[in-house]
Amino acid sequence: MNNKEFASELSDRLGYTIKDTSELIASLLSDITQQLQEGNTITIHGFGSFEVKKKAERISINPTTKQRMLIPPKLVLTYKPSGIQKDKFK
Amino acid sequence: MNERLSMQDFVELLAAKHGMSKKEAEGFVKEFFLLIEQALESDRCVKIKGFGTFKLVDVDSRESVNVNTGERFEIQSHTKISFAPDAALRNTINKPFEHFETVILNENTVLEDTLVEEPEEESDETVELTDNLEVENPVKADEPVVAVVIEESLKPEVGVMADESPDDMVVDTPEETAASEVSETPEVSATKEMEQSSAETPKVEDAVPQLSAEDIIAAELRKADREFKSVVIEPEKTPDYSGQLPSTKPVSEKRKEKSAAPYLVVIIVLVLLLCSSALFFVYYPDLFSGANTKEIAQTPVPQPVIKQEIVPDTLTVVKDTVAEVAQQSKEIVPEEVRKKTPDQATISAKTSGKAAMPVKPDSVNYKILGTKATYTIKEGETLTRVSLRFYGTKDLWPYIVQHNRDVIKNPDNVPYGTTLKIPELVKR
Repeated sequence: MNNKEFASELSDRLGYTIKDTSELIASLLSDITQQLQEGNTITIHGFGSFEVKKKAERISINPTTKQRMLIPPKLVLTYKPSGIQKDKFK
Repeated sequence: MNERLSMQDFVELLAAKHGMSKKEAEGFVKEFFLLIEQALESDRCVKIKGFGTFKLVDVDSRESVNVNTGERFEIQSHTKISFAPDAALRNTINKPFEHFETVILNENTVLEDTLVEEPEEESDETVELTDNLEVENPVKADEPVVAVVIEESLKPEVGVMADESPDDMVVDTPEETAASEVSETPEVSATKEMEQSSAETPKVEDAVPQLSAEDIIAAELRKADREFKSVVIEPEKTPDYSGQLPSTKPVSEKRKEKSAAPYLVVIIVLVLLLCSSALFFVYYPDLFSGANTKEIAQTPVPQPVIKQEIVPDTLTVVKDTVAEVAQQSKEIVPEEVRKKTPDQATISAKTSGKAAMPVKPDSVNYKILGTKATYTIKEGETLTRVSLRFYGTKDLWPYIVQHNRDVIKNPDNVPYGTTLKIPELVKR
């Protein structure tokens, strides 16, 4: 399901216009992004949690060229499904 | 930072932003996540712009081992949810580390944890050193025992040498240079040596930067070591060298760097003793000039006589500090030197130099930038006291002397009531 389908489905269910819905989605997502950027963890009950994790720098080797590369540290957004969610799809 | 936020927080934020009731906002947020879940169920893939993609991924069944019992068991095949944040979100999250870039490493780049070659190489060096000693000592016909003893005492250190830090090296080398420069002093013979020592100095200095980079680049280390080696060996080859001084010197330098714990302790204790005695001499200049001649006369004697492991250490330490400081003191206490006969001058320079030795790390590193304050010396106060009071360390008194050339006639005896200008010091 892509973004368009998602928005229209959501608007159907809530009875809002598609435009309003996509606006609300964008606003919600920007809030989420902002909180994540500040390093906060977001837990949605029954869905899972979003957390920003720091990956340390590492040296990786290109298997074909045997070139060694130093990969810099980075911040990554991780999603961990909740237990309920996990069991449901198992 | 690092708060745990729940759906409720976003409901509130959203409600405030869009003028919705909380109920509506909550309904929206709940529905949003519920729809993701349901869409996953039906389509196995949900793409949300500005957020990311949720996907269901099949995981094949596989065998695993129970960590506690060691039993093998099969993990059933199942599906799991994966989430890949979309590029825009990924970048905003990674903003703090954005400026980092992947670096391609050179083949010979060696990191701290891959230093393997070093101990081997250095042990080679010591072996060479001892060889040289063996060859040389019999020529001197002093006592062959020395060579053996030195060799023995060197051996245990080989293992420890890996611990040697580059800092030590850097600190030691200037000393070494100083020592070699000053070896011109009458004790040691001939002008040839002078040339050599001057030839030695630039080389050693060359080696310094490379040595300090040692932990990063092993290749450079090798180069630097070779250079270093050549420097060390060179002086030993000259037949001109008189007596033990030159031969033991390189050994002691090596030795200092090796920082084998027991030797280090011995060295430190001796240096401290020297310093304290030197300080004593500085405060009682009349006593020391007499005492020092004795000391000088004695030093060559115990060298061959006492053949314990520690002896080469102590002796060379004495030599080193004396020599090094002699040079330094020429800058610091020139007045004193001038007053005395040439013979005495060198002696006094040496001892007062010894006093200045602990000062060394500080006395070169500061620049005088104007006057910070003025201070009148009280009865019973010394320049070191004043230094301690204003700079928190006794070591900076030479700057006060330097800044008060007109007032201080003799830095060892400043009459109370003297008003001093306290210089403002800035680290170079």
